[in-house]
Amino acid sequence: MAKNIIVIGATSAIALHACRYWAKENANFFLVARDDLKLSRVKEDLISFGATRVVLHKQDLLDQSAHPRIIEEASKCFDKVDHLLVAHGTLLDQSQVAGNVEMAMSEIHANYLSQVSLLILFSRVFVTQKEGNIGVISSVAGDRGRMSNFVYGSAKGGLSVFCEGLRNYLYHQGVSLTLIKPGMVATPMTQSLNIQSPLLAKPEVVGQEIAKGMSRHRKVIYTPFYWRTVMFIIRHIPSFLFDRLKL
Amino acid sequence: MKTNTYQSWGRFFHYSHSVIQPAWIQDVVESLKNNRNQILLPYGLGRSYGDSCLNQDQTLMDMKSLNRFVSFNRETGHMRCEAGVTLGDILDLAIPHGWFLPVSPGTKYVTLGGAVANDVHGKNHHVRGTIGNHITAIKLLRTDGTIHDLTPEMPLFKATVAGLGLTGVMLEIELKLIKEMPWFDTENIKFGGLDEFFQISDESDLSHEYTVAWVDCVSTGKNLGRGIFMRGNHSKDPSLPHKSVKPKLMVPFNFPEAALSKPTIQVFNQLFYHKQISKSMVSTVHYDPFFYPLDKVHDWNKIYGKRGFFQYQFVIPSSEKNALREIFSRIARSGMSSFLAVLKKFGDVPSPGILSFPEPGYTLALDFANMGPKTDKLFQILDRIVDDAGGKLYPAKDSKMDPRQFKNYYPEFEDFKQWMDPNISSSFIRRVVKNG
Repeated sequence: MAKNIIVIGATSAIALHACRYWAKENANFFLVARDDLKLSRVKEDLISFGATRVVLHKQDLLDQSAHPRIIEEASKCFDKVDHLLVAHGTLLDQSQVAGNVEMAMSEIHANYLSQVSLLILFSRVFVTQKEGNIGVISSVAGDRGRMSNFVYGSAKGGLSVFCEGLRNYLYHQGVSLTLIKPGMVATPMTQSLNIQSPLLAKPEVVGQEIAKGMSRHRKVIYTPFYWRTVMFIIRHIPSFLFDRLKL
Repeated sequence: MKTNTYQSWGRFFHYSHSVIQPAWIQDVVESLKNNRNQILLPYGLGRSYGDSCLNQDQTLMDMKSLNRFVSFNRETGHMRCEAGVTLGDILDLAIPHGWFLPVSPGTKYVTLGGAVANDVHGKNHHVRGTIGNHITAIKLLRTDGTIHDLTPEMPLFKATVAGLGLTGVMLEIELKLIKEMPWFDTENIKFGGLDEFFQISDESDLSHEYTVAWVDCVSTGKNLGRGIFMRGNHSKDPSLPHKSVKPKLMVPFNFPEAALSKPTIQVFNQLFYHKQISKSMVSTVHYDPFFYPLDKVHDWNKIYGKRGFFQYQFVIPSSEKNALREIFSRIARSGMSSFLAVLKKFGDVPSPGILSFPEPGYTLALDFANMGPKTDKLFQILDRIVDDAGGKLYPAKDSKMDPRQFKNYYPEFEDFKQWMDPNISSSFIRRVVKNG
C-alpha cells in the first residue's frame, strides 16, 4: 500500500530529497509551505519520481491561528498518516540576531514555537490512529550552545527536548517519533552564510538518511552519521576549556 | 552579493566573480530584474576545462540548486528537468524504469544545462550524434526578461545547443531517453599502432554502438600509437538488474608535482597497456565503469597540483591520417604526455547546434600538466598540424585558442552572434572574439 505522508516546510531542500525517497515507493503527499509557486515545482518533481497523489496547502507557518486548518485539510486527504515530517525553519546570521531582540524572537518562533504548536495538534491525529511516525528536523546546533549560533541553537535545543518528551508520551500510544539532527547542509538556507567546511553535506544524502531512518522508526538520527561523534566530543568538552574556544 | 573563486576543471584560471545562487526559477527571474546591468554567465558544475564556464570579474549564476524534475513520461521516455539536474540524477531516476541516457560524456557530474551548452558527445557519436540531437525542448530566459519555449526547428534553439551558455539562461530542458539496459557487452582489443586502430575502428563502428580507444602517448618507435580499443553494445540480457551505483574514492588535496613526473606516467601507460594480456577481452560491465571510470575518483583534477592542467581536444577529417600520426609522434617526442589519450572516430550525424564541435573525422583528447612556456610551445606545434589538416579545437576543453583560430574553426560564429544575449558573456568568448 502506498504510504501517506504529510510534510510541513515541504519546499526545503532537505525535505524534497526525503520526499523523493518515498515518491519512488509511489507515496501520497500532503505538502505545506508558504510559497505556492515553489510548492507546485516540488509537486512536479515528486510526481516525476513516482508519487501517486500530491496535495498542496499554501500556508505561512508563523501564523499560529492557521495551524488547526492544516490538520483539518490533511485529515480530509488521508484516513491514515504514515509519516509526518516537520521540516520548516530559518537560519539567520547570528552576528545580527544576537544584537536584535526582534530578530531573535522571530528566529525562536520559526524554529521552536511554530513546531510546538503543530506537533501538539498533529499528535492528536496520531494518538487517535495509534500508529505512524513523526519526524522532526532539529539540529546539531541544539546539542550545546555555541557562540556562532546560540539563538538558533537554543530554539533547536528546546525543540529537541520537546520531542524527547513527546516521543516518550507517544511511545505509549503506539506512535514513534524520530528526532533528526542534521549537521551543516549545503542548502539555500545556509548558502548566504558562505560556509566553507569539509563537513558540509549534500541535501541529497541528508534527505535520504532522514527518509530511511523514519521508515525504520529510528529514535534519533544524526545526519550525516559522523555528527554523532562530533557532537559527543563537543558536548563533553569541560566548560573551562569550552569557553576559551571560538566554536 | 557575494564574491567567490569559482574554478573550471583544469584549475588553471583563478578568477574572481560575483556569484548569484538561485534556488528556484522565480529567483532567477527576480535576480535578472534586480540587476539589469550585470554581465553574467550561467555556471553548472564547472567541468569545462578552460574558461568557457568562467566570467572574470563579472557575475556567475550558479545553477546547481535548480535541480528539480518537471516530468518523466515512463511510456515515451521524455524527461523534462531544470537545467541544474545532473546526468547522474537523470540516470538514477531513469534506470529503474528501463530508460537510459542517449549520449554520455566522460563524467556524469555535469549539469544537463552544461551538457547542452557544450553539446557534449560520447562513445556512440557515430550512431546517436551529440546530446543536442536528443533535446526536444528548451525553456530559455533572456536577460531582457522574456521567456522562450524553444523546439528544435527554431533558430534560437540551434544557437542555444552548443551555444556555450551565451544565448540566455536555460531554465528547463526536455530530452528523449533511450529504452536500453544499463549494462554493456564489451570487448577490449589491443592494437599495436595507428593503422591497426583505423581498421578496427571502421569495422567496429558498423557493429557496435559504443567505440573508443585509449592510446599510449609515451611510447615511440615501433610502439607509437599502440593502445586498447574498447567497443560495446547495450546488453540485451533481461536477467541483469536495473540499478545505479555511487562512487567512493576522492582526492582531498593537491598532489606534489613529482607524482606526475615522466617516469610515473611511463609506468602508468605500460601498466595500462599490459594489464590486458590477451589480444581481446570480452565482458559484461555496468554503465558506471564503462562510461565514467574517472568518476570513481572525486576531484581527480587535483592530481595535477596547484598549477593546474590543460586538456587538448581536436577533430580532424578522416582523410588526414598522416596528420594524426604526426601529432602522436610530436606528443611522444615532447615527453609531456599525460595518462590517457582518448581517440575516437566521429560519425556524420549532424548536430542541431550552430557552434557544435563534432564533425566527421578523428577526435583526440588528452591532458597536459601545466608546464608553462614548454606546454605553450607544444600546443603551438599541435595547433599548426590541426590547422593545416582542416581540423578544429573544442571550446569546452580549450584554454589557449586565439581569435584567428576561433574564426578559422568556427566560421558559423558570424551566424551565431545575432542570437547572443547582450548581457551574457564569458572569459572564453572575450578571449576568442575581439570585442566579444
